[in-house]
Amino acid sequence: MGPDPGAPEPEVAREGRSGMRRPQWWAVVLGLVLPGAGIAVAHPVETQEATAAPAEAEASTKADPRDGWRHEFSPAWHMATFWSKDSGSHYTFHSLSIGYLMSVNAAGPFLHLSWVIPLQARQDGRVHSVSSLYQNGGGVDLLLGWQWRKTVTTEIEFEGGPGLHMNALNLGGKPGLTNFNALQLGPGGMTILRWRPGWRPHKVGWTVGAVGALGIDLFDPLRSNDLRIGVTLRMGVLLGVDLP
Amino acid sequence: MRREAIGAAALLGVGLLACLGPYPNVGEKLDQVDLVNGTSYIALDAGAARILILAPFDGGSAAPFTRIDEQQPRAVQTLQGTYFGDATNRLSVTFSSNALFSLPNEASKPVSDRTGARRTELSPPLQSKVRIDAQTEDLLDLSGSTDIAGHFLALLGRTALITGNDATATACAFHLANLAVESSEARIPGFNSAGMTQYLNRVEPFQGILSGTVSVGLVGLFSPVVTTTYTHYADFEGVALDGAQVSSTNASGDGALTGVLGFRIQRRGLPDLEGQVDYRGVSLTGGNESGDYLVRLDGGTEYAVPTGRRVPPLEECLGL
Repeated sequence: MGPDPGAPEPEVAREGRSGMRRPQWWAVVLGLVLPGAGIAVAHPVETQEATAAPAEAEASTKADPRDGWRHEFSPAWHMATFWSKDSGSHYTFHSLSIGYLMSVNAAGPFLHLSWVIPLQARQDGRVHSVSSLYQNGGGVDLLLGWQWRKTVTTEIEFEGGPGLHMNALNLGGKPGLTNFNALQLGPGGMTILRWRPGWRPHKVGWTVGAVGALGIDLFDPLRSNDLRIGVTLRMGVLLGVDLP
Repeated sequence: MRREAIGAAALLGVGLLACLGPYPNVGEKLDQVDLVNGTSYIALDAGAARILILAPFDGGSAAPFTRIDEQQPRAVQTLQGTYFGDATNRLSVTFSSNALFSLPNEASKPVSDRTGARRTELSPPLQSKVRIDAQTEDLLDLSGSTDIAGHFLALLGRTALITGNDATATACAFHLANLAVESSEARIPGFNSAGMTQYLNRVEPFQGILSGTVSVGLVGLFSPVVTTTYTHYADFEGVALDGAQVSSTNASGDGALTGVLGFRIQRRGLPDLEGQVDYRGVSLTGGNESGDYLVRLDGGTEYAVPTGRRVPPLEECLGL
């Protein structure tokens, strides 16, 4: 019950390496919704590919170091600075962020999802420690888009692409103080410089690198669109796995 | 961790369903009222009440004031600041307002689209020049800036016109007490809007302009139960509140009011009137009240006072 030599080639072979196969689209969608599922779903696709595609195609796929999934852990510095329309105030929040980064193939979707822990809040020159004013605070930074990978050398890779950005912040006020929250949306983009050493235990590659992401936030539905403009910057390091 | 999860759920839910108005200041206090202990006056214009509280100068050249405007249906604007006279003209007074508490009439909007009560810093201060046309112990006639002007009568002298405990006196006493309830609501940031979610699982107190406190707390994000508790609360002379009002609704503001709120009407030269309003006859649709307040005055019969327009009007109750 092997592949029928007379049958048309599977989509994977027709679309080429950099294109997205239909089953892999599902993997991407699931991967975006549930990062953990991305790994699990990716493997059946590979199995199917191995059964259906010719051996040389498989070899060729593995030969391109840009193919496959990247799952990375990224601690970073996160800054959100924005201006309000109503009061004309300028706010800046400096935070620590713990992120999960995911991307697929030489060209494909990416996801940057970070838990943000605000440390310092500024408004119009006044500087406050977040812990002195707020309790149970936190935020989520999400960047979702399309990326392209370029290899600089066999071990060094550059990744970048545009996306849609969301920065959500919720700071619960201490007794007697108001809460501060925001839900800022706009375009964004990211870039990653990644070093991939040749060591691949169990065919799993390891990567280290640096990431920078920028969001230009233009709309806040939570705050009656009181947002004039906002800039969110995230810069950090990354450590990840490079699945086949 | 549980509070963080609740906070994240609240943010997500509110973000999807509602808006909370402009950004607050970092570390902004919830309660920023100035206490003003002075003589309270009332003026009425086509059912809209204007209450002016003037603290005495006590030897200084300026003193704090509060002006509360209450329109029907519920809409409140409270100005606070200081007033001072003109050294060359004793009849000329300037009111300098630096804060505005507002509760707009948003009855026609869904709860998720409402701004609710908020405080605005007036910078530079709003300057209102008025002229004293007449002044006696019971009367204060001010002309000039429409922010302050009016034909004012001392409130304690007017409440003395409410006597007995028949249906009319009971309704009049309730309308007066309800002025204090509505005034207090303008002081609670986010009141009557999705901004109330900031009181989720916390109880926050707010001081009365004259005395006492009102505290507000919310339990349940999607079926919110808001409890507003008054303790010796007074924003102006003549009315003090003690008790609780509880609203239980769904996220769209449909539900009912419960709770019993006691009130005390102070009258010049007469003993205080004591009464209570039971909210169990009031329904909420989209956050708007309908039905009847069940009011009892001085141990008399319980009367149903309909929500909506004041019947009898305050002009008639207070002889204005």
